[in-house]
Amino acid sequence: MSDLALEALVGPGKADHTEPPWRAQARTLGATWLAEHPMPTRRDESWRYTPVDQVISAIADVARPASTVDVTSDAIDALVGVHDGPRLVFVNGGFHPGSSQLTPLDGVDLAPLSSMTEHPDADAVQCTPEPDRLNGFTALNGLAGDDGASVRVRAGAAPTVSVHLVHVSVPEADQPIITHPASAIVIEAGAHASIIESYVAVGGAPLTNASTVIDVADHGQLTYHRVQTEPAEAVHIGYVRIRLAAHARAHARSLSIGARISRVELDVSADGDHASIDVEGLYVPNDRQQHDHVITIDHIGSHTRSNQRFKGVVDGHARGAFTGKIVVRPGTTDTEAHQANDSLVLTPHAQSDTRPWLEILADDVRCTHGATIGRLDDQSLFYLRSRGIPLAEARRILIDAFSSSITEAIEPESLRSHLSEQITKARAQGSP
Amino acid sequence: MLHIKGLTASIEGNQILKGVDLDIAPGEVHAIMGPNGAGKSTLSAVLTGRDDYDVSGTVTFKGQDLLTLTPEERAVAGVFLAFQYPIEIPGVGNMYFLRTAVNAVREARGEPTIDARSFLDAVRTRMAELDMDPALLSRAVNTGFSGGEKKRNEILQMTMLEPALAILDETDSGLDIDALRAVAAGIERQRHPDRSMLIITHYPRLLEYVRPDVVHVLRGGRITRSGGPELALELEQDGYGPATPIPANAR
Repeated sequence: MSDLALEALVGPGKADHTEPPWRAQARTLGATWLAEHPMPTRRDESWRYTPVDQVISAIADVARPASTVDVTSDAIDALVGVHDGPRLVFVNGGFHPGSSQLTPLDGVDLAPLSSMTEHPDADAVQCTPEPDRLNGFTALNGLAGDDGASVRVRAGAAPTVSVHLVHVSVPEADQPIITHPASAIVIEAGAHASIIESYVAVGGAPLTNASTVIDVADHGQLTYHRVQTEPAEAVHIGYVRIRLAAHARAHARSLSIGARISRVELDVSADGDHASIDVEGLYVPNDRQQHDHVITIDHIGSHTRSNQRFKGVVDGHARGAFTGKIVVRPGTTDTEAHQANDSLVLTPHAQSDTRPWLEILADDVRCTHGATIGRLDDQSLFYLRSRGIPLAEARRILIDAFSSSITEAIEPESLRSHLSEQITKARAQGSP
Repeated sequence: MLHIKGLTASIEGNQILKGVDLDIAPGEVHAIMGPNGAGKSTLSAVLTGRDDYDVSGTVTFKGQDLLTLTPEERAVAGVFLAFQYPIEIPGVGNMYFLRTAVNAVREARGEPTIDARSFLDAVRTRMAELDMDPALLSRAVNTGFSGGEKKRNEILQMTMLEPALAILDETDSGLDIDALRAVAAGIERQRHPDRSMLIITHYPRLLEYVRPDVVHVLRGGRITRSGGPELALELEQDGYGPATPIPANAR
């Protein structure tokens, strides 16, 4: 990518000398990577189901947002729901104090990354993945350096409410914009926390290229929800890096509900012995939306356990895709890794792709994977209709029942009900 | 109530029903008996609107041309089928399903819907009558139910939907004697001057508990004999007899 194109994407002259070391490092890392590597193409295995050429050509037409747009707290409530606990809001890649709620929470340090300059923890901030895990988009994110959250849950803390991080795009006039939000989350030893990240937009066709790096220390426990409910014309590229230390546990859910093109990558490594991760997700593309999930679970420690469960409801002319990669490193013992992907294809034009991708380089492994792709069951539909339930409602009931195994356990309840509304709304928009 | 004339049905080129004629007056209970493969379940499927069959003939239900209605419209008109093999629907709560069905039917008829509290009270009463475990309400529809629980759940749906025509397809199959008695008593309680029933069964056992007004024999896609309740007993002793209809002059 040429310097000129890069400058258009990240804005001129941002690399000043006042930025903290972690920011300078991310920027250098991104710039170096981009100078040495091309952007991904569909020939790259992990980008096969994302129309990455369309994403890159859309990027060519965007502007960097002005930092002075405004949006009301009420508008954000409607987009992301209202949940107990503090909320950090970023509008067009900049911290938005007006709609944020920084109620102090015992044992939790919460601030915009941009404020992590003189802070004692500033040196420890990591908002980009390791160099060998970068791709063109995460490199671009590091280079652009938009704002995001810094969350640190102190050792042993167990806040009873969720921390909510909200990324809002507000396109200006007719000009599509791109933002590169980056967040860093640390769950210290023995801490328990619940974190929600929401990606939304106030209309238009924004591009989002997001990155979140999460570290869970020894015996830490994290529940993480990543919710993408952008408008039907949006383009969303998201990356989440989760590193688990010994005995750490995480339960992550990714819900891909909006956007014309959405690709979410969850890149997890069970670094420490006895680390454990559950990753679940739901994607509901309709119309001509293309939703892709790419999951990697890298079993680096021994006695580690992972479980992936993803479901897709693919309607209209949409495409849904799931790639689930399991890596078991040589020399590890007692690894357990499971994976399931079920999709419901609602029309003859909808398409669903599922791909297990296993690299098992050790012997002491229990690994299962399974995938199903099916239509709504005719017999179940007939049964409901024979009781007087109209066809459209019978279909809705069966689709909800299919997704419920992913959504029913979502906590807090306020998030579960918000999502249920968002899914219903998104599905209604796309119906012919 | 129900007038069937010259009803034929075929699936993938195989003709299963070859001209069924049947009239059921309001309040009457009819039984259709016949050997396996006679077309009994096809008859119930065609009457409730499964679209797998090519159908000809006429079926008039309370003055309406039944064959032009969708399955849900037939339910609203008052047709109910207790399935031979009730469908398991994981992820859909039994209580939610029941209330959605009853309120969908009421709404389509222009009647007020029933609130959750009153509905729950009504369901609990009916469940107690059927000797059903109340825990089945909070489970997914038929999912993991025993054979007997599934059949009772069908009768529960019937008592909540209060149909004008209840078709019971092999409702007795797979039931032990206690379950059979409970189910039969549930059916008996539903007898009403405005409600007709069509009991489809392979064995005469259920008819010892639910006494039909008329018994028909369905063989080879046609009704070959009709008679009073004594016909069921005769069939039990002598079997179903010849496959071809007995000529009228020989009766």
